[in-house]
Amino acid sequence: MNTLLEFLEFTKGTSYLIAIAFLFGFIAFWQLIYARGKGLAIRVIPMAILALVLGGLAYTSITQKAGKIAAPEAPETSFFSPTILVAMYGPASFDHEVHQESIEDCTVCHHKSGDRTPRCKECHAEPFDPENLNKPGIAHVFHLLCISCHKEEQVGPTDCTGCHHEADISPLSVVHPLTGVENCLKCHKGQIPGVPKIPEDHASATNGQCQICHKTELDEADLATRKLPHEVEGQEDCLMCHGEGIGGAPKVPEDHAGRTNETCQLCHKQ
Amino acid sequence: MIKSKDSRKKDITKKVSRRNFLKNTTAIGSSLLGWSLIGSTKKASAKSFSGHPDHFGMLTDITRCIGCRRCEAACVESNSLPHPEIPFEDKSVFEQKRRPDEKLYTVVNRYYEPHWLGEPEYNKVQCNHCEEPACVSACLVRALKKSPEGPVIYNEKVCVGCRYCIIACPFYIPTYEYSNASRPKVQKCFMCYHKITKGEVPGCAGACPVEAITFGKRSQLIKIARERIRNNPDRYVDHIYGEHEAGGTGWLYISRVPFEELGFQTDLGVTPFPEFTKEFLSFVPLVLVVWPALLGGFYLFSKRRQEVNKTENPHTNEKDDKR
Amino acid sequence: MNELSKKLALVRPWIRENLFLGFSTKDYIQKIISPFNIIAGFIILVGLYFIVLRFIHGLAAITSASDVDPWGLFLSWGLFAGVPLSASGFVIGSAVYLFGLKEYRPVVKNAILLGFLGYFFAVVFLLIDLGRPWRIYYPMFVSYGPASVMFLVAWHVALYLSVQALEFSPSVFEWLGFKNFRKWALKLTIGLTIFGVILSTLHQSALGAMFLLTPGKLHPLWYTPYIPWLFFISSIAAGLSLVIFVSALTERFLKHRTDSQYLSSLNKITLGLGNATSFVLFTYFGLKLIALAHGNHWGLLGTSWGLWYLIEILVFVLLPSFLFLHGTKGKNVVLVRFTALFTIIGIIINRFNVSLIAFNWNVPHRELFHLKEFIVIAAVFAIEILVYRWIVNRMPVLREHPDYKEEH
Repeated sequence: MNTLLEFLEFTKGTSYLIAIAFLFGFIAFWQLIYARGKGLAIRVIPMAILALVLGGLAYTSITQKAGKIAAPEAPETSFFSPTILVAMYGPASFDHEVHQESIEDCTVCHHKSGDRTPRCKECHAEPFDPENLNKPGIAHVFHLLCISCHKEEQVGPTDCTGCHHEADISPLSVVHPLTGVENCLKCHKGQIPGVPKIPEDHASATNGQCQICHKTELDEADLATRKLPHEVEGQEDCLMCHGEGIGGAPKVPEDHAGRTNETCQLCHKQ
Repeated sequence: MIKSKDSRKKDITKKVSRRNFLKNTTAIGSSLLGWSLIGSTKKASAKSFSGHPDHFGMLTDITRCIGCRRCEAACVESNSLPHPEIPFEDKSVFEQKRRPDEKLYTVVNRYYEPHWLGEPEYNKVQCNHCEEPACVSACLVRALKKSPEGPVIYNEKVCVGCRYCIIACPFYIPTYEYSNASRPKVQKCFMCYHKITKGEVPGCAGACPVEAITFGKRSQLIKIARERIRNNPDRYVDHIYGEHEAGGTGWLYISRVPFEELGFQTDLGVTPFPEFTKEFLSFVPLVLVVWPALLGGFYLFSKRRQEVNKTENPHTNEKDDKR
Repeated sequence: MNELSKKLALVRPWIRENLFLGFSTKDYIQKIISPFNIIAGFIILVGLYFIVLRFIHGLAAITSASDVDPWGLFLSWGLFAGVPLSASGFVIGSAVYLFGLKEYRPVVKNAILLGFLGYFFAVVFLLIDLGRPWRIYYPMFVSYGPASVMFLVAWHVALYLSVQALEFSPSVFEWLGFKNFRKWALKLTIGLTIFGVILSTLHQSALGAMFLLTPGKLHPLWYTPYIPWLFFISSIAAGLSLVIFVSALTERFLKHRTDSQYLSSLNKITLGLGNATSFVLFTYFGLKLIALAHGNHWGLLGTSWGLWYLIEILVFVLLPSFLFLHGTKGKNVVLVRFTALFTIIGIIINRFNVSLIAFNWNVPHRELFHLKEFIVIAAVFAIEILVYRWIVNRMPVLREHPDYKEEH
């Protein structure tokens, strides 16, 4: 037994079973000594058998392995492959010349290699090798080496966008606010006319991942200008009046063409 | 009374079989007892358990963390958790200290004390995957289990929902899905067990851009932590949190500033928590075995006393008996 | 056909006699409509509504359970407070059957019934509180966690419930007229009582031992390695006090269901039980002091938690101990009964302290319980009272059954 807990589980379980077997044995004992009359065998023998059976169970049941613990379900392939991440953050811009000029000693960066100046990838794997924890992964070593030096020498960028210039992703076309809208797939599976369907190459994406790239252009100030002047109850069919502009209701503008009732209240709230 | 030959034979056979029976039960009973003793003498000094060899752990180097929360995002993605309302890039969450809950297995909190000179520190909070977990010892159906690979994992197929594990955890980590009436689960970090068993690295460790979180064998991680501390004594407090706390945890931490100032509990002691109930559990078989004889004895004693009273005072009404 | 029709002809009068207490259906229904029943019925309906809510929307609908505080009133009241009060079964049972104290025989069936109902409704509260109550039998038959104290509690409560049911069954059989079953059930009494004491020792102390696993979370004044013993000894005091108190209530409200032997001996019994309880409480107090010394927490007595602790042990343990003594010496039955109620409150306070109030004492912003929990508890308690009354109205609990009088 490798852990205290395994030891405890085994010993406690075994001792409980033995104690219970003993109890039945005790009852059998008691009957034998104090009970009178016929039917003695009927009372004693079942007790004794139970005692022996439980005593035997003391070893077999505890030593049996518990059923396999079901590992949690996980998606087969991750939507966030390295290509996507690179697309999000982009490669870092790195000026080797500037560093060559200001740091005379090459081994400050090309370390632990004697006189050689090897490429970093020669020793550092991606992401990192759990068998070889003394060598951090390739992305990490850049961060470790670069940022720590920049911090110490008080020169050079220390935040993400300082080197990853493309990390500031411009919002990928989300026309409605995202607060409270967590189930993107509810509408964007292609079942509602006018609502764009998720493209094929996003097939393995799950709901939680959409908002990492798709950010909304609208903020609180925008929402304020879109407030509804009337109650919604009883008037959920927006297009009934606003589709053609009936009864003084403003007509749905051109750029809203194709949008259905479900989407109106995402921006137009009371 | 002179008995007939037949009934005498019956008496003898009755006595013989009773004797045999007693002999047999004593023999079998004592051999079982002997077996159990042999089983336990293998580890007579139950104090030195080192866990399964080569089991995994995680190391968080607080000095490296920059508070980017990529680990939270990777955790949400690896475990198919719902995306939180506030996006991961939003730094305003640091204004309050958060804790893991049913939808977020790990959170990063920001700490700042003026005497640290300059930078705030960030700490990632999640299940510490103790070597001898209190929650595992608390679970009455073994739904929580310390896997041989290291992570403390959960089998929702047997969980009854008693929440004793939440009571037991000294780190206040496990939470429960109270709003789920049909299939509520205990939720906490499971160290991406489904990934580890496939030879992959847990989500947070793989996503950290500065390798503040390292995944590997716990024994190796301790060596690395010690090496880092030894090589940079100005950068680190000379203590690995989790090496011995609560009997040792699978998740280790090294830091630049004292751990109490980062919200860590530093008064947990080094005793593994299952030890605290071990003594009481040993009491149970004792009671089961000794009480029958003790109480049976009381009963026989009082019965005998009543009979003696009856024979000595055959005409006294029972109701007038004084105690 | 004749046999069957003969048997059926017996059913209706049996129902009238034994279920409707001799009244016709119409009269019985009229009798049921009393102010107490209406109020109880209303509370029960509201409580049932909340219970349905719990099963539709989860525990969050009616409790204030949070990430940090998983347990609320259901467990503190139903399990932690309910179980020691139900110790009446094993205490009086062992006094009468094992120690041969025959003068307490008139209250033994009531004590066993109270014990049985207490455990039964503790299980009911568990069924409401567990996350997946349909799996309540899992620790028995599906998956075992023997390193857990709660595993013990589960097993013992289940076993003890059966033991108490069997112990009470002779009264049921007397009511139903099953003479042979009754004979068989009576034979088991001694064995069941012994087994009951074993189980009670273990699970009364196990309920306390559960908190041994939480040294930092339970306030140091209440956290001590002596918790199991403290819980066990206080459960004896609780059981005794409950019998004193409830028997006082039966004298007032259920007099028509008692017999002369019960009524005439009740005062003497009350005084005797009060005497015993005073000693138990005094012992309990002594053990509390030892626990304090063991932890060397004298300094904490000066804090506000310390004040609350002192109130608990001085006002609700030491004071009743002396009041009981005073009452039994002066043969003051009223004082003894009042002190019994006081002790019951003290036990409830102690259990609430350990499981709810002093637990997680250092966590900021706690919401201890939700009003809805309180209403559900009131509802289940009302059901418990009604069930108790239903049983006592019909079965020979406070009296001897006329058919079996000569056997005692």
